Amino acid sequence: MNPSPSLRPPSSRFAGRGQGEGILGTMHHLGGWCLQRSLSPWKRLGWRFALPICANLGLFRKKWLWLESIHGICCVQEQVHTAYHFTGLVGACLLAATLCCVADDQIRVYTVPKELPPTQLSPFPAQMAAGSQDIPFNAATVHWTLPAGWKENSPTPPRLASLAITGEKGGQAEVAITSFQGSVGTELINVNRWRGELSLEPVESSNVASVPVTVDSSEGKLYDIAGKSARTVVAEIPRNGSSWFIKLRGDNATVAAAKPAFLEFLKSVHFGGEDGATAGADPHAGLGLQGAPAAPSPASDGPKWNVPPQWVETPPRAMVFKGFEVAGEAGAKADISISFFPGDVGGVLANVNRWRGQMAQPPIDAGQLDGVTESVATLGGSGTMVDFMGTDAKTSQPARLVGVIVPHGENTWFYKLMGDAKVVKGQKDSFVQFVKTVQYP
Amino acid sequence: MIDRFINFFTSLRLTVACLAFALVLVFVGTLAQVQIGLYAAQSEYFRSFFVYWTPPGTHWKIPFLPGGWLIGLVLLVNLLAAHIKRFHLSRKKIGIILIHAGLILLLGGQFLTEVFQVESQMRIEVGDTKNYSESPRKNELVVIDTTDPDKDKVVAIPESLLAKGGEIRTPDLPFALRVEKYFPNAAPAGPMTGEAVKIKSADGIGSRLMFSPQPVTRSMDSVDLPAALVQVVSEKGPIGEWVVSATLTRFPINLQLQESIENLMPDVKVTAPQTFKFNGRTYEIALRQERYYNPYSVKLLKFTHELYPGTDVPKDFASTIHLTDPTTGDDRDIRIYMNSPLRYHGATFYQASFEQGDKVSILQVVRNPASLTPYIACSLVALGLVVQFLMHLFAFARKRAQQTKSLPAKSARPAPALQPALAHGKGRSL
Repeated sequence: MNPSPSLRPPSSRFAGRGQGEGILGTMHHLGGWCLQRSLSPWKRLGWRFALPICANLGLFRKKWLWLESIHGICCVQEQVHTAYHFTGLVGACLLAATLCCVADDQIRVYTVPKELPPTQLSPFPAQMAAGSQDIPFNAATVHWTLPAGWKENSPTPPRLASLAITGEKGGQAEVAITSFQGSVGTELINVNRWRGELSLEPVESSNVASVPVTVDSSEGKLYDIAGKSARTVVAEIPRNGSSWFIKLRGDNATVAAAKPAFLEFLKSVHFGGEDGATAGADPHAGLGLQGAPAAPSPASDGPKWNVPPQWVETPPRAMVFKGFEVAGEAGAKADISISFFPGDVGGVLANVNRWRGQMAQPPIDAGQLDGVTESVATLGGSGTMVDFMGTDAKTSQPARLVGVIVPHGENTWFYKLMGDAKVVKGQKDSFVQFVKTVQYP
Repeated sequence: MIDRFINFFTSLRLTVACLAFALVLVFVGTLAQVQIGLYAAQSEYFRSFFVYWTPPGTHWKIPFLPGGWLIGLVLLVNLLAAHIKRFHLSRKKIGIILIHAGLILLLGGQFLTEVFQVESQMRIEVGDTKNYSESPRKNELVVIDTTDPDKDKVVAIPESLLAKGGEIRTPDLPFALRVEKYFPNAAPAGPMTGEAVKIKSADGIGSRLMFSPQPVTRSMDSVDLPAALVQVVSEKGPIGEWVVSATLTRFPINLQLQESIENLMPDVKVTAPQTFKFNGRTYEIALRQERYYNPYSVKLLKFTHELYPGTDVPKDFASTIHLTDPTTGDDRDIRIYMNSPLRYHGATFYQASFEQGDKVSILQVVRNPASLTPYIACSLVALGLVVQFLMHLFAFARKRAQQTKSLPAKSARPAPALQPALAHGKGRSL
């Protein structure tokens, strides 16, 4: 470093303008001079690092005069002139990188419009509108008397009927009949869906208004929702596990004029067949619609068994397929739990030791396994049974555990009878009999 | 001292060393993809400052190669420093300056892309409307105030904060979130899944379904599904604890899980939101894919997927969408198909994928503020090369003309073709 700094102007890129000429040159010299006079070496060093960073980040872009005087401060020596840009560059890079890293960790807070379930976005779930094969809507027959002036159109799925009404001044309205299995959402979801079609805000359940209506001797509800330009009058009739919707929708004037005829029309509607879904008389069989399929019964897929009469089913628990409880004398009781998992879930030893853990018993090793287990022949194949005393690790009460592990097909089934020793003793025979006679799917 | 520092960063040797390292890095990084997969190789070799080697059986991390970011950064600094040191604004060097400006812009633009580019996906069903896209890999813990009937207030906490554990406090929530456990990748677990650590909560779905940690995925095809046990604590004490997991929110994994537990736990609904009430307000808590909301919405009108006749080879994927932007009044139909993305308000929507049945289209949404820099940079380099070449050509031609004029009689002597070029090439350039 130059030990005797002078006012020697650096051969900077401003040299071309003529050294010391003009206001920029003056500021340049003045800045260097101020620095030599007023700042300690440490402060000078600080300025040299801090200012170029700011300058490179463009913080002083419009204040050229100031920047120029700072430039003078920083380039009192030729070497520092390069260092000025250089440190600024590295500093700006590091600062940018740090900012980015910090920005990535920020908690964001924002407000979004409520996300509507798909049924509320469109009149029908997306796949229904597109006529998918696995739609749970009914292809049922329905009969009616066509009011004067209404015109019957060929219905598009999922509509079972489509009737067009032309009002005065060319206003349009449509009556559509649809039928779906089950309840098709709650009343609130349905009403808000209809409101959505009319560009109305959704409402709370307390604000849903309806009047009772009877169609083909089934009780239902009639909703009348008016929007700014359009209006919907819809009758919802639950019947034999299906939901029927008869909807009149169109511009306000046409719907208002057609409403009396619509109410008369509702009286004339007769649903075909007793179950509301007679596939035999399906006029829309060619539309690729599916008749009402039988609801899959979980029992038909699961195992079949005969539950002993003393066993009382318990509410569902984590990872337990079925649970039962047996009460003994003086509040004593035992639990029966049945669960199954894919694969061998660790093998017999690991599961026996898991059960031993539940009974506060030390684990055993593979050599000891044969001594504590016995084989049980079940309808699902050979099972492994254990029976031991111990202490229930949860309640710290003395307890007994009888467990059977039955590998069947791809799954392993676990049957466990655990609880008060007396109750377990009394139930063991019926428990083992139960396990032996389970019919697997 | 400063001299040596400056000389080091402005030297041509550093440039050569960087380029050599880059060569080795590309080679080693390409080979590494065989072992660790594309995604992990990209992040370990190219999106890092150092490449580490862990000796087998230890937890040490020994850096053995500079990473892609370090090489890029040093190259950029080298280029800029050399320019600053030797910079002379002269007409003769305009070509060189243009070329180097292009290179600097290319490197800087790539750095900006790395840092600021956000890639996300929009999975959209025919007839559905969406105003957000989701990150394919990043997750966030969200606490949503759902009390308002019209809108939801979302507090989104990035997974990186969740991974740090401890207590998360923000003025936007009247309670704190205590991260009791966090697994970067987890799977639903049965009670018999060996000796594994499991998380189970007192409230919500976690009371029925447990999660155990899984090794972090390295493959490009699979994603990590983090899970965490989060306790919500007010000043008066705990409000409850919930297990949150990306397995519960990520489509279609959540539906697959639902199907697999249907027999075992018919009453458990995987996709049902986990909610709680505090001070009369209702909150929902979930760990989901990071979402990026747009001020505009996109409705998928139609998705088509055409094959070449008589083959299974795809010919064309196209999504016809309807774009609605209340802020600009835009309201139009657009067709997005392969190589013809929609560019709108800084985001680019590409046709990326679809699901079986042609009912669901997946659009890749890329937001890159530096997307134009490669084009500008390449144009600058090309312009610089042309200028430099033409300047040499003109100088050469002029000199040649002068020589032939001054030496009309001495036709025996050949023209010194290389001399002008050498004269101009004196200035050292990087």
